[in-house]
Amino acid sequence: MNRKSIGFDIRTALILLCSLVVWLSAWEIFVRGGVLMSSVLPAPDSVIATMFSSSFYRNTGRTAILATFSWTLLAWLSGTGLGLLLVAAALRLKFVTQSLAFVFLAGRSLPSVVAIPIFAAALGIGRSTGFLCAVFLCVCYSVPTLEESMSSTAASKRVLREALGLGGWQALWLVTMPGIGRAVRAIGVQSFGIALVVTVAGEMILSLENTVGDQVAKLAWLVRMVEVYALVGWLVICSMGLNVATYVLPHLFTYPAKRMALSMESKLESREG
Amino acid sequence: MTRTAIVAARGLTLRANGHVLQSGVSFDLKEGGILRVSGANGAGKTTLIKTLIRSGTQACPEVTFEIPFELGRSVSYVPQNANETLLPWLDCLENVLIGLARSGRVASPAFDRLASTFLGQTVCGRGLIAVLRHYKQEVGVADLSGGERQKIAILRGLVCCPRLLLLDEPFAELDKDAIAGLVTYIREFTAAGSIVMVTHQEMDLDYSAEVSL
Repeated sequence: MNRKSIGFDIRTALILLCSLVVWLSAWEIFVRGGVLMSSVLPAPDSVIATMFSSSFYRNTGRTAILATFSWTLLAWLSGTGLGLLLVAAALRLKFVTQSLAFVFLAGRSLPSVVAIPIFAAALGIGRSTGFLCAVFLCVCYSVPTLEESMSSTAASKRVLREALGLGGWQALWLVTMPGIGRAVRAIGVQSFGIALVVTVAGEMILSLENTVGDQVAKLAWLVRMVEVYALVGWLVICSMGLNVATYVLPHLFTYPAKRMALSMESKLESREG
Repeated sequence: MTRTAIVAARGLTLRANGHVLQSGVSFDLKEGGILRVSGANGAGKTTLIKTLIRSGTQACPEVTFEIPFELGRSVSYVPQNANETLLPWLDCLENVLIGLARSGRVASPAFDRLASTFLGQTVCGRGLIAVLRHYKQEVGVADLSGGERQKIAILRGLVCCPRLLLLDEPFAELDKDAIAGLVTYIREFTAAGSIVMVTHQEMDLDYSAEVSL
């Protein structure tokens, strides 16, 4: 990441933050002014107070958020990993891409929430159904991005092996890994969002105990909207945290390449010394 | 085949995607010589270089090398559109350094002079590493112009100080000063090494052999 793009990212983040503050202030004013019913749409300050109240966090928030995010992360990791394996196989065996193309197209065209009843009808109601559904959609969303990135990475690897005579491991660390890292970052934001939506929707539809989806459904039924919004607030904060964490991914994947390149520095240094 | 030839080809057939582009290609490249490869677009110039690389790594009776064929060590290849082969996740210094991944030898003073011309700064005084580390640091490799990327890619190919250089359209996208610098480097390089060069441009160089496809 260069200085120009860091500057751009900071500016974008500031614009987003300002928009959020303006939006929350308008919401607060409308609720306080009686334009919006506080029982249906509670004011942001009471939502924030509930989010950070120890009783709510201890009794409801922590368990639900932990359960939901562990399932989401697991589904995302499994989906992306499976996508990676499929693309690696497809690069060697063209019929894999051709035979699975319609499944991926269907998966991407299908609204994610619609996929849940289809999977539930086929596999029955339970945790595994929601998990499989999230994995399926993550695979569908990650495969096209991974396929594009991995074929261009394979092309650069071929040229560089030809030009520099790189060995198999050198090509893996210098070219393949960083290429995959970029794709994983790109699909991270996209398919992690899908995995989260499907997990929460699945929890609501399948009534999975002590999860965010289940708690939201129960609290909304009891018209305890402040707590519903507090749970959604935690969901948003954790999602943003994970999104920021995905920025680290490309650096993890390019670290061996940088180390390897810099290990050559001593050869030049010895000459210059 | 003469004893002084570093590379000799006899009746070589050039194939791309299963089609025969040329057959019966023969040449001798002597030590310290430059073989110029010319011809129309699609005639098989790049294919000739790739065939030489294949011949060096696999057994091929039509081509004989008098030096050990080790890519990135005794032989270096700067491909056409080399600027597209830079790795965007590495900076300029790191991109050049991976040219040393397989080499034990390090570039000569002639290389330093070429780097000084390409980078617009005297390399000998500040050191190549220091200059490359700060070269266009504010934009990153991906945002360099095509010519700037070509310069870095050429430096990456030449840093390992090979004995045989395979250059495919090396002057493409370079400015006037850079072309002059590269021509000077090629003249100095032929004191110790040989070159196979594909080029459409007329340069002030003494070619020891020519293959027109």
